[in-house]
Amino acid sequence: MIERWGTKRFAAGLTLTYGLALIAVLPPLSALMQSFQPPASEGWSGSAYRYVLDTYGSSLTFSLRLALFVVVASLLLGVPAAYGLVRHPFRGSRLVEQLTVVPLAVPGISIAMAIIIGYSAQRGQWLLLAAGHMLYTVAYVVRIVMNTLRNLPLRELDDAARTLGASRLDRLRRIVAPLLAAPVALASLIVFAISWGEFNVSFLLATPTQLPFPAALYGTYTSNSGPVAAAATAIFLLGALPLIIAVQLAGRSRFDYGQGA
Amino acid sequence: MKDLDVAFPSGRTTVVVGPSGSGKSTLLNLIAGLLRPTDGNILFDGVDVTNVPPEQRNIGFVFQSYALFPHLSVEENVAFGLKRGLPVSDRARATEAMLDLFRLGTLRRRRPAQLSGGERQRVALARALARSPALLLLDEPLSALDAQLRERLRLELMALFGSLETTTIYVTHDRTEAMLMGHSVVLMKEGRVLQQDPPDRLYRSPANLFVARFFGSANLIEGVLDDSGGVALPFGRFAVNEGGPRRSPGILALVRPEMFRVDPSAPHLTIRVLTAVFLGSSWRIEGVSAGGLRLTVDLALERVTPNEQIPLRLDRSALHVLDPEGET
Repeated sequence: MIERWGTKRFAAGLTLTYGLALIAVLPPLSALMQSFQPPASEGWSGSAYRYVLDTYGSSLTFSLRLALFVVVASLLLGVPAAYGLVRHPFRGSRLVEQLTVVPLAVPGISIAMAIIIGYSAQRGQWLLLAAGHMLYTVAYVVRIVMNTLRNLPLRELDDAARTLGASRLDRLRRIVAPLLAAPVALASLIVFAISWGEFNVSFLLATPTQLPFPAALYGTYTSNSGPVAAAATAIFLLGALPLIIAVQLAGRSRFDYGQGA
Repeated sequence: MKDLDVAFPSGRTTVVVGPSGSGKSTLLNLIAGLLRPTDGNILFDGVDVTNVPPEQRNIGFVFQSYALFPHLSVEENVAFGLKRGLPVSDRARATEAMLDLFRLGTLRRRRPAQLSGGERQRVALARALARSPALLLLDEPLSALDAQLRERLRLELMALFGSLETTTIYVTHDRTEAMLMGHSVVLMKEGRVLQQDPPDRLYRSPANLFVARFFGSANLIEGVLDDSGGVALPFGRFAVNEGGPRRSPGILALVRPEMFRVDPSAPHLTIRVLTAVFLGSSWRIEGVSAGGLRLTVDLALERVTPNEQIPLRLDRSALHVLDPEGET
């Protein structure tokens, strides 16, 4: 009997993987089932979805607008920073690069508290909420864009374009921008997903008029019936699902940067 | 790099060759305008371009790594440098002509990552030449390819340069390539030009010991100059060709391996074979004379056996001599 090395181990790994996946999938599935039952409380007769949309609709749109703003602002900060760090490294540029990651390692509640204490006068301004999200998101933009730039012989491509008569603006438009399109798309989606789902800062900096959806979600869990919470979760995931798929598609590189043989 | 004074004949191919770190690529980047000199001037046809940016120098540059744009197809890469003001039909025609010339028609939709090394090289050349540059610069264009392909492309490039009549500067570290491709060869070392000459002159009349050793094997035989324009070597007296040092009587005579022939009747000297390597058309023999002189000679013999005694005659009337104190 001949078989490939590790076939049995592979089968065991596969079983384990699907087993774990089942554990991960079951709770949301049961929540989904629940969400279709009409909520018993408060004399509401319609579906749980109707209730969530009516009660928390403004939170949904607020979260959407907040996330879009965070995406644009993070790109405006992160892309030039990444470009500068790669093309014009200086003493300590590695340190700067590492420092952008620090907020990811600090517990979200600490960051939220720091913002509340440090900027108490500005509390209630949505810009402060956005800034809180950007503490995480800019790091991702810088990382993703830097990674692409490092793997590209950008300097040489730029030189090549110069010898072919391309002006600075030409080079930005015809070389740099298209080469950065894929990583920027990927970074945008990740930033959107982070902002959309961020809880710590969103919850602690929220006001009744500026209530991000994850914070509102908390309210449904604590004060409402099971079906309402389940429906709110389903709606929330529905917002994130297209993003997850889009990230997968964007991550699939459209071309190989490799120059080697 | 300092005190560099080189002229490149227009319409011809000049090869700049030298060991790594000799400054040959730096020179090319200065000419392209990708680097700026702190001092000195660069002139194109008598016009000072020292402060003209590369995008306005009307050059074509082929990079060692080719630097093809990974997000563009072969066709888009080739068309990249065409002047913006050009009518669409002219652009298409120029692109088409280049795709034809470099046999890239069937590859036009491919991305650089989908091409072989040789194909990428052709795209890089087509892209550089599409805009009909006044000056074509190539930085080690064949060094990324395997030996067999390199040899074939050398011949293709030679034919191409011959037909183009574009002033071409070709940088390489490969001495064979330099000898083959250049009308004129510039040998650089440590940021200086040691000699600029046609290949045959570099080989036969090197300016110093470094040049003599760089291009081919060299027997450097100690001799003494006399007043009547001759040189006394351990195995006879020979005339000296023009040039050469006259400072001191003690010189080194340059004797290339192929300058000897077998001559039993009137030999200058006899060597005992130490090693022999078969080169195909000849044997490369390391031997030693009775007087202890070690020589490298190329002889077209049927067979050679170790310790065989071979009578040799130096088949030249005049020799090139070098200053032993010069650049080594």
